Amino acid sequence: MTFLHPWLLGGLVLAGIPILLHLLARRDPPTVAFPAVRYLVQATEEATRRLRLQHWLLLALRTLLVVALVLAAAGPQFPARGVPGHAPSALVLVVDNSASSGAVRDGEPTLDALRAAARAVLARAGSDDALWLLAADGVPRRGSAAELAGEVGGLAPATSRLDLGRAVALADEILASERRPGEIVVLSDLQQSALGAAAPRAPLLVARPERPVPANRGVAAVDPGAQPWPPEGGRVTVVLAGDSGAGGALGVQLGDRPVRQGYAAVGRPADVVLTAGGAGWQRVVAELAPDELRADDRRVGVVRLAPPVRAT
Amino acid sequence: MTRSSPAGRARLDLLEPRDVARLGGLEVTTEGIVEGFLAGQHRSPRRGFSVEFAEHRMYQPGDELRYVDWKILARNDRLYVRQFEEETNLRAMLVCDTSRSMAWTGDPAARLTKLAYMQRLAAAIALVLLRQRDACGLIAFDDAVRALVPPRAPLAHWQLLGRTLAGLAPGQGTAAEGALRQVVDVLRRRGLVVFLSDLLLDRTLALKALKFLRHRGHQVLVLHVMDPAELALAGAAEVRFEDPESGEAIVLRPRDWAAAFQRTVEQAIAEWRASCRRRGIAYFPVTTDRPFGGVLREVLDRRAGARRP
Repeated sequence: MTFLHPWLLGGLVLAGIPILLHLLARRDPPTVAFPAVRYLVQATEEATRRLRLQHWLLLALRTLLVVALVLAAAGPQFPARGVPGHAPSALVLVVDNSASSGAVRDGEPTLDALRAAARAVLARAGSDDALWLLAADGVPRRGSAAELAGEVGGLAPATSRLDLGRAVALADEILASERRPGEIVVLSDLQQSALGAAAPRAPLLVARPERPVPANRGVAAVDPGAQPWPPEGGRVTVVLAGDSGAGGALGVQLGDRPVRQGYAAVGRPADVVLTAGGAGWQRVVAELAPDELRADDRRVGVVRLAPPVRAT
Repeated sequence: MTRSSPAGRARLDLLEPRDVARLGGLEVTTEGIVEGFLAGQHRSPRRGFSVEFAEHRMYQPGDELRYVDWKILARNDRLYVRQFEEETNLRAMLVCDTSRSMAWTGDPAARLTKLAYMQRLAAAIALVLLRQRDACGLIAFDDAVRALVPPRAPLAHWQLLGRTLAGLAPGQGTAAEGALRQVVDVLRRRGLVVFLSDLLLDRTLALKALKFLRHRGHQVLVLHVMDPAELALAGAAEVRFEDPESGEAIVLRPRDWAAAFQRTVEQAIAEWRASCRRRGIAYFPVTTDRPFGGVLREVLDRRAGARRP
């Protein structure tokens, strides 16, 4: 324990004042002759022991009061440890379970790290705290720490994108309606695409997993070109995006037709020729070899095939 | 404050004891007290009669007219009353506590000490008894018997009793048993024992001795002489109270203990009263601010009880 104003501890000398007064009060009072002392003794003998105890307790309390005042004035500082109790407060926990949270690193998805961090935050909450959970779906959920911990456990990487700026603004609106002091905690892998502007009034704490984000590439677009395709098929252009410069095998399938293989890399769109098996709308699926982030390794498109020309 | 008789003379028996004491010595003021007391009686304290004539005595206000000797009045134009032998057969002993605790008053400017009050009260009782041709004696004690005057009936005996009472000085401790037992040696026949004390003594031993007197057939009257300051503590500052007899002391704030002290004293008085009643002993608490007349009346009422067969 340390003190902000240790020089004030000199005031502990004041604790001697009650003791000094006690000693001074013990000086001999004036003596008065009184024949009926026996009645005085009789009247007091039952209460004397109790009074003596009260007397000493009173002295101890007075001394402790002075000591407490001096210590309080000196400003004691205690090292933070454990989970200290806190006044009732409000908390909005933003968990970024967007697609990027599905990235796997060393066999562990990023979302698991975010879940663990969320549970740690919820564990510090008290029964009088107001808690909200905000995920990629943008729907605020209110509940107890245990309920929200269950919600966190049920989160899965979402295909939708979480705009952190809008999420923080929404959290700030929630806290504005609360009388209790509020705080926003954002748990995210902080993908650049998720970042947005926000100016919350409530304190904001942002945390992300310690491990670095792995390099990634994904299917950014499947372009079938002009449609409808002739009945015999057409050419699809697959565009990759990401920060990984390495290329990889690419499989493209049209409808139920066999998968056509190709090679693609970021910045180098791949053209794959597909043969059709019928007229109408057909699904086109482009899929990369799996990497750390599986969510963007596959993209689905549609293409319209013209019916065969009939001679009349 | 003074109260006057119908004749305009001050009734000393109704004055504040301190005021009476200022008027003169014990013997003089006692005469005045008794005169006033007898003048205020609706009936003469002499009760009962006997066919056996004893002597004549000058008429005094309060004497019943049926005892006036009209023949003497006719011959000498003086009022005499006849007295009978029956009225001389009471023998009374005054047992007076002169311990050091008796020489105390809570307010010297306003009240007599318990000893001074008791001296005057005892003298008045003695004079009343002697005037009624009762024999009266005196025993004074502290931790031992200090004075002994055997009971005698002549009115001249009052001089000896008065001088003895006036000469009483405060002694040391209190041991009433010896004095009370000595009464038995002095009062051979059944009589009246008036015990005047502040009762700051061993209650068990004193009651045992008083009970012994009752067993010997004596009427016993206990006059518990107290200063009003012994009934109620006063004062705010811390004081060391010291018993002048035993030297026992206690330090306390009177304000804090006034209620408890008063309860204890009242309980002690109640215990004395109950203990005396169980033994057939009359008990009267008397405070030193009380006029002598009322106390004398209680004593004489008790005397009447002693004379009844």
